[in-house]
Amino acid sequence: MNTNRTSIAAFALVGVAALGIAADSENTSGVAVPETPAFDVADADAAGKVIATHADLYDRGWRDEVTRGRMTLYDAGGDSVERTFSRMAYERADDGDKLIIRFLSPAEIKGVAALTFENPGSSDDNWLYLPANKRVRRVSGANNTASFQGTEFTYEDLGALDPVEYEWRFLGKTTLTRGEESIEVYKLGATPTYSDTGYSRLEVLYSVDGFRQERIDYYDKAGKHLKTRDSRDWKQLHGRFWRAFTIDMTNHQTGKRTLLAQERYFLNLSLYTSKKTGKPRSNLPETMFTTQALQK
Amino acid sequence: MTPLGNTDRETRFAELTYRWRWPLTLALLAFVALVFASGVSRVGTFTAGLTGLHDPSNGSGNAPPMMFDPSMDIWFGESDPAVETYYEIEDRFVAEDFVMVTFQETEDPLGVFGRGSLETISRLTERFLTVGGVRHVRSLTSNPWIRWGAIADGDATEDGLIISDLVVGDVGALSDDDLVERMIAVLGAERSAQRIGEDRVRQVLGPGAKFDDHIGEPRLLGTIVSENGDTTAIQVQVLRPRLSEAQLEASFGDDERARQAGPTLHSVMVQRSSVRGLEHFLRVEKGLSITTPEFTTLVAEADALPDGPEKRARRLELFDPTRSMIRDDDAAAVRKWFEYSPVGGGGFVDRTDPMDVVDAPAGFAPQAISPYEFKLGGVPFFERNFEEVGLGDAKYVPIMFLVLLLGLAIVFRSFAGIAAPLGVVFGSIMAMIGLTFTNGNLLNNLTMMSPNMLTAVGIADAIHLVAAWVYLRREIDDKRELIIEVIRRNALPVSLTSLTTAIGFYSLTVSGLEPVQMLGSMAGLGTIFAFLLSMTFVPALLSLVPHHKRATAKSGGVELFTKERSARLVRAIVAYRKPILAAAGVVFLVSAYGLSQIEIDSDFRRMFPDDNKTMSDFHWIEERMGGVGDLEIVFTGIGADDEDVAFTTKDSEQLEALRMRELGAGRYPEDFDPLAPGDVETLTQLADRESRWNASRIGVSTEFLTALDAFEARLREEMSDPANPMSAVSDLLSPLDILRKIHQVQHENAAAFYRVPVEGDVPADVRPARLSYDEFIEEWSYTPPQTSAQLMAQYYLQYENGARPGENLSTQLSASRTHFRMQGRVRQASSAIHRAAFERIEEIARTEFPVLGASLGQPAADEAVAAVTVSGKSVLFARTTHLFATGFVKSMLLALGLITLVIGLIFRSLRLALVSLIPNVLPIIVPISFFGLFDVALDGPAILVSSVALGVCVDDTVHLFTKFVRAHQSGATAEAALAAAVHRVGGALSLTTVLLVIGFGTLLLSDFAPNFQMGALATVMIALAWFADFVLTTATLSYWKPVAATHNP
Repeated sequence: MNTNRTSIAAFALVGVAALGIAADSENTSGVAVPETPAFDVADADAAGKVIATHADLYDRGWRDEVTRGRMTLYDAGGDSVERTFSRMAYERADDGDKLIIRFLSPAEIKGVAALTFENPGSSDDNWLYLPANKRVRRVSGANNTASFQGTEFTYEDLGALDPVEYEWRFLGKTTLTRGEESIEVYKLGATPTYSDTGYSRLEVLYSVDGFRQERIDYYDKAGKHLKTRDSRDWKQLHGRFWRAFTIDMTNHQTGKRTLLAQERYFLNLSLYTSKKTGKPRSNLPETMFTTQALQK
Repeated sequence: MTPLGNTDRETRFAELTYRWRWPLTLALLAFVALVFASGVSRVGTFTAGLTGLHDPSNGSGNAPPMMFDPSMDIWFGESDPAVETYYEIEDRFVAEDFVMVTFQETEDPLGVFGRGSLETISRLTERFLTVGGVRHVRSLTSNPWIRWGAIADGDATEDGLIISDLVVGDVGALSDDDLVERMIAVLGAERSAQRIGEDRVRQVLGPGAKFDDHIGEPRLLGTIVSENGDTTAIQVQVLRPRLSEAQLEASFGDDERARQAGPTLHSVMVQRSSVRGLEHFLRVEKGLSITTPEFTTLVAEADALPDGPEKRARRLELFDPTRSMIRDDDAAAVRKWFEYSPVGGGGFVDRTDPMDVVDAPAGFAPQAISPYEFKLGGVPFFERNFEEVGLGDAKYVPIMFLVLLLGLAIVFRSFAGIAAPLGVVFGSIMAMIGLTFTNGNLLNNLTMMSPNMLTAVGIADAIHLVAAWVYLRREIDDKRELIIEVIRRNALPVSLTSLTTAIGFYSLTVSGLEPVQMLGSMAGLGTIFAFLLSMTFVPALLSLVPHHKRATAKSGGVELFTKERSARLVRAIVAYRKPILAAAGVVFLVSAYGLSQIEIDSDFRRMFPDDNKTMSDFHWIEERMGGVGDLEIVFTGIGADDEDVAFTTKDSEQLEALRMRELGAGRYPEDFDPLAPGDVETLTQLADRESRWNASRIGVSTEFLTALDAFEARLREEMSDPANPMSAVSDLLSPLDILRKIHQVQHENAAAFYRVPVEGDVPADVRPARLSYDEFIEEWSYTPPQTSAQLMAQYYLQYENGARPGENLSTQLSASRTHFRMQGRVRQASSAIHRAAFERIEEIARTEFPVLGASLGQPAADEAVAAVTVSGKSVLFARTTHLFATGFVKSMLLALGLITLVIGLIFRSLRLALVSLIPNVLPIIVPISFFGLFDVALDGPAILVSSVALGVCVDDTVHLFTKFVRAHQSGATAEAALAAAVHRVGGALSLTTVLLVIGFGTLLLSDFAPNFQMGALATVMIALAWFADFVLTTATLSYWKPVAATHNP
């Protein structure tokens, strides 16, 4: 499967404003919002594809990201454990993104770092650094259906939904209610067309405003409801890119749950000022995404 | 004046009852009808709630009412740490059971690593994953193959650490060498050489390869593949799905009982469906599942739909392997496939619809797609088998009633004589079941016996009245007088026997097992209804029978105990009373010895007939692949569950910030402020709490894991000794296997590193803490000192990052690393062997590995880092048997004590109370003691029948006593009083005895050993009760002095 949009959704992300969706502020990102295409709901398959393609396009041009987040892993009984991490992502326009994810806590895994080169259409390149044996090892995981760091996310879930890798279908326009909040959404059905998948189908809710991926329901190969991914607390960065600051993945079959919360979010570093020098920062160089960088 | 002598009061009672018989009867019957209807309605509501969650009907849509709770959970004792652990495993890890699908490949030189076998495994693995409720499938083709090797994912090939399935993609694409490589990877070089020769192994490994470097995959050996490589198992993890609060609310509202019973029943139903799905695919393999023409039409219709979710949903529904029927457009049930099963004589029948079993077309010959004979193992099959065979006995209930009906017809030769006892029996059963359902309880394997038990009680009550009626018809002209006299004579003994019988049943409620408690209170309640019906409905019914003394004088039954015969019998007994009583004394002593030798034991292998498919499959698997039962050894870090040991992420972050400042202030004073005295104190406190927290995190403790590694080796040592009960245990799996494997692979596959990492494995230069500056976040970063604990935590992370979610450590190791689960498998054995094995595991931990072996909830030894609990269904079943035994002894002692007290109070005689013990106790203990004398293990549930037998014994005794005391008080000699008593009650008591012996005798037809034992015990006990009363009681009472001398003031 094409995972070149991984970073976008890697810890979740595309989408809308939080606690009472923030009023649109001025777009300071320098990236124009693409025009919403017309679609005819009478042709449900075509309409589905148009919306999914547009949602993907909507999130292009962010260049790089540096974030810090917290993942909370809950077992069926509600006991939980927390991990914090930092993540750096480098957007490549016509190729897969490059990523470094580094654990910050708990202390025992602090410094464990993973480098990923996403390869559209084939397996990603992965390296893992373990500080306790001071080794960077090239690693090859089972596949897309492997768990991401023991969470309820699989690698398949981390990648954004590549419009060309699913059969889409428009299932209707509806309202998603989340607490006090009501969000107008397009409901799409998505069936993976690639073989290395754990799912028979997905149901995806995109907000009408901003094409944020508000919710995904995953169905296992037996057609049973497996997981729900709920993306909340959306913020619009630079008045342009929507990011969910909370992503909640619940496994309905085992009762387990993973919560990802973003705490710091820098999108396109050149739009920020350095604390130290007071000057504008530069973007991440592609050359820093190397195995040497893992060992710092 | 004794209460027995108060004939006035009895007469008044009888007259009152007679006058009000119709209002009372109608009110009672109306009440019975009402509770029954209310019970049925509650079951209906419950069924609707459940079937809304899951259709249990195999797709036909015709779900029977859910009156029966087949879950085994109800058998687990209360407040038992093993039970708590069992439910904690569900909460903390996962709620599921494993199912093993095994087969043997004897033709291919590569054994199950041959192409044909791998193709079958791969196909079944994929298909099983499409079965609803299956969480994960582990098989030879699908399991994490962790190794060091060349990775060619990206631009350049590079050696690295690979986690993948043993077979990725198409089996057909693998070369012969690929197959041998996989065989060596799993079996190891040595075992592979034994199978295919050393040369062939060297061809693949290279001529210089050292066989010791290729140790194989311990996680799979003996689990997924036998050590000789000819047998394999596909292990399917089948969920016991849990219901969310929202589902509970939607299905059961605020019905508390339904909220309790619903989830277990739901999980059993869903698991059964999953198992049906697995069996469907196995039938497909054998060519025994053939799609029907109707199904082909429905598929064509679905295919004609436009592409999209509706079409996919319809196709999923059509091909859903857990349902062999489906509803068509007109909502009619349509068979999707014929599910053929072989029957004797080479034929096949279709069992898709259990209501409509049809023969296969003539000449049907299955076209198998794989040549293997599949054997199935696992707790879900066992539970289903238990239920099917146990419930199969329901077919004997009609036989029992038929026998009773015939018996009554022969003896009474009157419609009323048949209708009265059966009316009491049915009425009280309806009331009992109705109240049970109304209270929100369901029937289970044990309470299914309550109707049988109540039949005995109801018949006994009613027969005394009918017998008196038959007898008195010849003597009393007036119908009113006749009925009043029937009531008068029986009011006291029937109330008294009802009371004592109810005591016997209610005494079961002291058991630690819920089904036994339920049986006790149900049968106790039923006994009260049987009494009420006997005293109202029976007289009312009898009063309808036209009465002419002369016309009836010659009819109305056989009189066995005429005055003369009774007198002769008593005289004979009195003549031999000394030897009789001496013999009874000897029998009592021998029985007491036998009782002391008795072993209450359950052995599931013994419970089923030899041709039982489930049990013979289990046996086959156990001979080749080890046990099919589950075993859980759960370790909990000391302090893990204490509130004050908790160390939050916030604490951790605060501590780290302080440590960073402490370290940084020395090296980079411009960036870090030195610690203030208050900071130092905080740091010390936090560090202390952190170390206590870390001590509870056994999953990354070198001390714990090193000890566990040795513990595992010790267990394996005892498991391999066939004389040791521990040999019932096979196959121990835990995250240790992962840890050792990752360590080995991190060292480029060197076999010497297949071990638990130790401190020396951490390079010296990373042991101290380090500071680094992050240019991008623009912050300092602190890396704590690296230890073996960090190394292991990082290995787990590495594994979890590559394995499928189904192989996730979270089902074996809690995310906090404080709870650690080792899973074994258990062979079928007697519960005594199981208990010995499980106790031995804890004992080894406690005595040889004090680090591991604290007990939960007990103060731990200083060196202990973990507490151990052994659990799993096999463990809990073994304990259930034990609870049966202890609960039974308690119940029986309580019942006997109370009954004796009641007899003493009613008859106002301590001596009579003591004498009553003889006929009440002997008939029970003699047959039970035989099991001890002849060294036959007794199944737990079977002894419960003693409660019924006790009721019958007491019944006989009380009737005899009543008549005896009455006659005796009116001045008769002991011998004359006895003769009168035998004459009065002999017929009724003998008739009850015969009917009950025949009734319970139908259980002897059962294929299910516990039911057979129950039938055998009940018939012998009831027959002995008759003998004890007529012979022993008579012999003892014959010593009674005339009334003036014995009368108690």
